[in-house]
Amino acid sequence: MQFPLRSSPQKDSALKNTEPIIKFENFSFYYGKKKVISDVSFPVYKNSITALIGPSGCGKTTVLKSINLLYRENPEARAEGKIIFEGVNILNDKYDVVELRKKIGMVFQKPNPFPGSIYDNVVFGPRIFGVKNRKKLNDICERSLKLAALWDEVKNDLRKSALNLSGGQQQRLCIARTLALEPEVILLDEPASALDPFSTLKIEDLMYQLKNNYTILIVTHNMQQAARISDYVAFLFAGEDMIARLIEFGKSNEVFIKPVKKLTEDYIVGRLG
Amino acid sequence: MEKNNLLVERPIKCRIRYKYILDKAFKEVTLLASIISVLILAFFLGGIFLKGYRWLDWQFLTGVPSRFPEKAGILPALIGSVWLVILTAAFAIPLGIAAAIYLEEYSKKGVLSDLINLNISNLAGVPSIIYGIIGLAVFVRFLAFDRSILSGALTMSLLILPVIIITSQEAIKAVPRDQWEASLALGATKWQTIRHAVLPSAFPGIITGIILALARAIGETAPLITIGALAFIVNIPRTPMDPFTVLPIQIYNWASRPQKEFSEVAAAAIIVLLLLYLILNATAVIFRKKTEKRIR
Amino acid sequence: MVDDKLKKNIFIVNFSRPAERLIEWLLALSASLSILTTLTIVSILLVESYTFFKEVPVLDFLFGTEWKPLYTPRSFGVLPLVAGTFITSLIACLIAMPFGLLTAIYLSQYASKKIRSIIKPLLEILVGIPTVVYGYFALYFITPILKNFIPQLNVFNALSAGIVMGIMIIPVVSSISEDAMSAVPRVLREGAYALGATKLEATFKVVIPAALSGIIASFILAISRAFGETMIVAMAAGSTPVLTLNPLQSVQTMTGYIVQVSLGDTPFGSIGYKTIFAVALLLFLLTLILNIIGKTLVKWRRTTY
Ligand SMILES: Nc1ncnc2c1ncn2[C@@H]1O[C@H](COP(=O)(O)OP(=O)(O)O)[C@@H](O)[C@H]1O
Ligand SMILES: [Mg+2]
Repeated sequence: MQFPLRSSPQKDSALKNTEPIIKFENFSFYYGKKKVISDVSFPVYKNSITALIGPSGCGKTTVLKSINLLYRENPEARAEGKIIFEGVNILNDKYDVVELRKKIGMVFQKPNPFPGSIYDNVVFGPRIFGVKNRKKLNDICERSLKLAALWDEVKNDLRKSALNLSGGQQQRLCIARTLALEPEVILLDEPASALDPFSTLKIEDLMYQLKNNYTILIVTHNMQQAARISDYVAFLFAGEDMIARLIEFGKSNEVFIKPVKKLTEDYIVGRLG
Repeated sequence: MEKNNLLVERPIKCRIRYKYILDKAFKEVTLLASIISVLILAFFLGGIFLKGYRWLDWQFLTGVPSRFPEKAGILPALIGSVWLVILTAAFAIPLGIAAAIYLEEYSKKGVLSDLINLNISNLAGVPSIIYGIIGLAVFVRFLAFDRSILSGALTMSLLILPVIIITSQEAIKAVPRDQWEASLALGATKWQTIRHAVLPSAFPGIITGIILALARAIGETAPLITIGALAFIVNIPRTPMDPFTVLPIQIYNWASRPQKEFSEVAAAAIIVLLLLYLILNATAVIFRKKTEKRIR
Repeated sequence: MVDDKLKKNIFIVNFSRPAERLIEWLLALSASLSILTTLTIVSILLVESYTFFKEVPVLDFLFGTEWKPLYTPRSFGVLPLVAGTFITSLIACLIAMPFGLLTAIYLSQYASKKIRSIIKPLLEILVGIPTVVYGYFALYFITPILKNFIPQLNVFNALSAGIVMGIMIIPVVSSISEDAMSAVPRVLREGAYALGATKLEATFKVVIPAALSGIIASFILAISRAFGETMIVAMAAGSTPVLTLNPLQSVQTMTGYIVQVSLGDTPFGSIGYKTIFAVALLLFLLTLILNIIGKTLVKWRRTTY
């Protein structure tokens, strides 16, 4: 079987740092009585890009929402097992949700800019953490927008409504908004699925840039994208019982070229062919 | 790219504490605000009950108004209210449902039906006393029905028609259309399909709307005052052309008198009125529960 | 799925085509009745007001500061009635807007499904209680209570009428605002939480701005409701048309005046009788404008998200 994908040499060099920043240990998840994820364990390595792949409905979004405890906003939802971050199990009730979310940012599937100006969107996080100094906020805004590769497009329109931006710009604004809080980990839930191919490429580029300073966990349906940008890949799959399990985890250049499990291969090939 | 942390790290911990406290406190504030109106109301209702329950007896229910509070009764007002609600229902229900069916099933969606819908929603917002003035000019004067139950019921029908139309429209809209095509395919005409495949499912929703509209009709006071229903009525109305009074107006009349006893008699009449109102509401709630079950 | 009952019915009752047409015409007639109603309201108010304005100049009516239409020397300045309506409605809004908004926040952001299903029907009952009962509350409960704190309070006063009216329209504000806030997409709120916002912050910085047009609509529709409210003000606010904004004083509203004339024996066709049509026209226009603005805002919100 022929795979058109080859990992680039510089990507391998990025893998030298193998210290996990987040570790899932026997993680299971329930919505009410319904179990949706069962016994998942895998690490997320620092300053790398980990891609989370799998058919829709297999719990990828749920995994992301568990890492920043966003699932707690749903009274029905319940998590079991451990998610270790900074040496602590964050699923333990005592963990401070607000502080955690400051350190772990999230970008959603559909761009969700807040009503208000571009500027207000970017400095939303710093403001609620008490930064009031104008100069400081301006600096944060400029730096975040530059990081998100949006600065040049909007620098003269910072006071205009964020809702008037194009879809791709809105999504980069949401990334900038997340970066403004200087998170350590960024979770991206199919960030390009609602965007045109050109915007998609821009966002991929951006992630490549960000990898040096941030840890990125990205959910994607696009196998080519996953193969292009990720260092590690985790494949989730829900069988007939509709409960998702981790089928395979490994370095992208290994999993995409020579998957261990037949299921992974089928999924990747089905997606590619 | 160097990560230069622009945020002040140190005060974050205590700031977060403070955020949580504020969040919790605010939740309690909103909860309090939500129940305070209900609590105030409960307090008032309790007060009214204490004020009026002593006057509630057989003589009060079957007696006629009197200059002496201990002899005062609500029978003519009660009968007037019943007459009014029945006649109003007889006019407004068929017209309201028919209009809703037309707007949902027959009228072509376009400028005209938008206009009618807009018109109906505006009619629903017209202050009730303006309906009273129209009733005075049209039914009492122009059609010379005088200050009769008929005038009152026609006025009240105009008032509650928009409510019935709007709620019936919602109920018809909510009916799933899986039977619709099957019925047409069997050769049924449009009206037969509506009659047998749509209306039965919409029925509980329509009934809910009608009952709530009638609950409003039973409590409305201002438009009836305007058409002149505040006669001192000692005769029980026997035909739709008789002069009449209704419970709310009787209450208003008693509440406006200076003697303390009459304010208590008014409280007793309020208890009766509220009972009627609550019974109607409870019925509506039951029907609504039924609708919700059907849709699920 | 077509059940047998349905099948049977269709074949038993088979209308001929003309009957179908007739039914459609009858239905259309019923629907057009609403247009007829509007036309009747507008034409009666306009015609009767026209004969009134032939005797009293429009400007004297709109900007005159003295309202003495029934006894000579007459004067027909409607401003005192407008002031009465304004002050009672203002007090009502000062009560209903904050409480209604906080209730909407609680119901849409904090309350569990179960608590919602208890509180919402209670609020619906609140808004439907006959207004004559609220008038009684104002006159026999609120005024005496207030008098303990404010000895100079008149027996009939704008304050207690306004307060009770405010309690009554809390559900108007809360139900429309709650709809607007519940319609804010969940991802928007989650976006705020993901940035470390608490519920309070997400509510004030994201949900309320996103639902603003609906919230403003609820305020406007509540004002309109307060303008048109009759029994509470007729019973508790008094019948003294004075140009004042002092809430402790007895005032008269536009609606209160119409009730007063209806109760008296003003001869049909007299100038006193015609005044109620002019006042009603003014009230109709004011509430119509408010309703149109409010409903447009509600619709506009529906199309923006
Ligand atoms: N709020 C919820 N309540 C109940 N079930 C849910 C909820 N959200 C997701 N699920 C279920 O959990 C499973 C995983 O969903 P999700 O994490 O959104 O999958 P993915 O992101 O991979 O498409 C699905 O079967 C979905 O039906
Ligand atoms: Mg998903």
